[in-house]
Amino acid sequence: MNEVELDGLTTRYPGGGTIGPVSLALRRGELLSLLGPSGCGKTTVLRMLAGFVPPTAGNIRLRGVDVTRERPHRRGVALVFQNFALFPHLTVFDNIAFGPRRHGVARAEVARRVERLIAQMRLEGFAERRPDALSGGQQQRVAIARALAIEPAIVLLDEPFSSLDAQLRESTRFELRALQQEIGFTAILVTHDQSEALSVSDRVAIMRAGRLEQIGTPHEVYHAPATEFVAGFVGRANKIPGGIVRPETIRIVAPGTAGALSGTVGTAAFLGAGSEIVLQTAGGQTLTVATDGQAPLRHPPGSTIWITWPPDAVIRFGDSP
Amino acid sequence: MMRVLGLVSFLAFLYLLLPVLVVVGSALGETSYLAFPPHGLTLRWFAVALADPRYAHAFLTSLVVAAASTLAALLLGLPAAYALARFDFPGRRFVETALMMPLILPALVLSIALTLLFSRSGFTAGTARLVVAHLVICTPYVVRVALPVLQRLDVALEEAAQNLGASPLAGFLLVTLPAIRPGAIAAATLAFIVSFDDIDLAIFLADPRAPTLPVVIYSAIQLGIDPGVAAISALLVLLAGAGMATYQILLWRRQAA
Repeated sequence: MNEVELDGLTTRYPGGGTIGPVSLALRRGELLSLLGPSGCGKTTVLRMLAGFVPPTAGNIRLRGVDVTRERPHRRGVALVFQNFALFPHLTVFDNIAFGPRRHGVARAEVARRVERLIAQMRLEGFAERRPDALSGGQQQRVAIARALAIEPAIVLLDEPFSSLDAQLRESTRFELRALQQEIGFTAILVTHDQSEALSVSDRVAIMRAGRLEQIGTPHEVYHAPATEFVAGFVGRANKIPGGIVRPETIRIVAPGTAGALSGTVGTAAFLGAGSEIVLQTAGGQTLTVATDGQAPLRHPPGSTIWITWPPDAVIRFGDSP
Repeated sequence: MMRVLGLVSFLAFLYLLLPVLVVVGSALGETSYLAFPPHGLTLRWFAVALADPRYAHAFLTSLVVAAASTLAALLLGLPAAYALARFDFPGRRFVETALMMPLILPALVLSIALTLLFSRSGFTAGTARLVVAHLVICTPYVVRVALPVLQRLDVALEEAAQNLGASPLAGFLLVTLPAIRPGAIAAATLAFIVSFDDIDLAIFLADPRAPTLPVVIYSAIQLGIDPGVAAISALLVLLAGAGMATYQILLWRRQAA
């Protein structure tokens, strides 16, 4: 039995505009990312799951029970808000205990649960602090602990890293993934950041204009994107006749190599670990090449380079579902 | 520039404080009529005022009326402000403006209107009637103070409460209300003062056998100003000062904790 099933979930806005139909299923302990540009409806799908946006069609089943019409406070779906929405007047302990207390969990059990989560989230010593006395990363861990305290069928994470600063964002990403696997909770993570989605998810669902474009493992959506939109949104893609080719599969070769394409270097950007060369081919095509960090020194702007890529690096659409 | 501003603020402060100084000063005089600066120095008039049962009764009546009006104004005004802040319904702006009306309407006009209304509907004189009348002038203050506080409050907090299993009502009581507590306290204080200070409505609508303190002071002045009136007024000033000091000390303690 799937832990979570969305079946043709749709909502129509009064002013026109439709999100859905969205159908997907999550196994227990799976982390699925809903990835898409802003305004594609991914947050709306999350809010339908949480009960804050009523679906106009389709249904939601949690552990086999239909909760499509259930009111928000009776769903057993826990939402981690973008800004965490911690209760400012309550301590860390009381924030985490809020859910179980509302669900009538016995006092001793509430304390046990909260203590366990505080330990798991490495929040020891912060139980009596108020949220405003915590760092961004700690606040996020409290928000996740508070969500897990109601032992939900699923945890919904709405852009959980967007309110953290850039440095913290990457480390927190893997920390969250490690916790998710250790505790084994099922989660949907909404994000517009493809590297975030690729690096933490079991599967990625790409949304565009209210609909799902593709669902697959990070490898599948990167190496076998179903549509050009997916190819362009997940990683970068060079459009070539008959498909796309990824910048890192293009090789710079010796001038005059048989079958190679020549072009003029437009920009050569040094990125630290590597570099990115944008070139203009004789045919007027613009291609981006991801290569080693020394390349800009050898191939300054204006110079001519020869490139090639293996035939199996070309991703075609239409022939792969 | 700074020195000029400092002088202006000092003058403004003095101007605001002057009536208080006059009242307290003239209550300390030995003469049986009001004089400022006072001739001589005595606490006799305070003893006279405190011994007068009319003042004591009126003070109690005012307390009861103000407390009841404040409670009722909070029960009516906070949900109204909440609805105005959270929901977009037809006529929302009209309701918002209508709720502010009693602030603009002269209290005397309101007094006459309410007197007519009450006598027609057979709502006879009594403390309850005055509380109902004060509700009209106190509620707008509660709405006015609470509305911007509620509008600033993050909706996600209430959604989080519901998401964690709190019914909308439980969410309001456990999350919204504590989060807006400073605003609610300010609203309650204002409502209490508005009711406690009111004379226009009280003259028309108070129970003649149990008038409020402003009514008693007013009639005492009409009968002839004696320092007893000044003494009771000075006591009110002291009470207000003590209240403010207590509040400030509590605030400091909280910040220190």
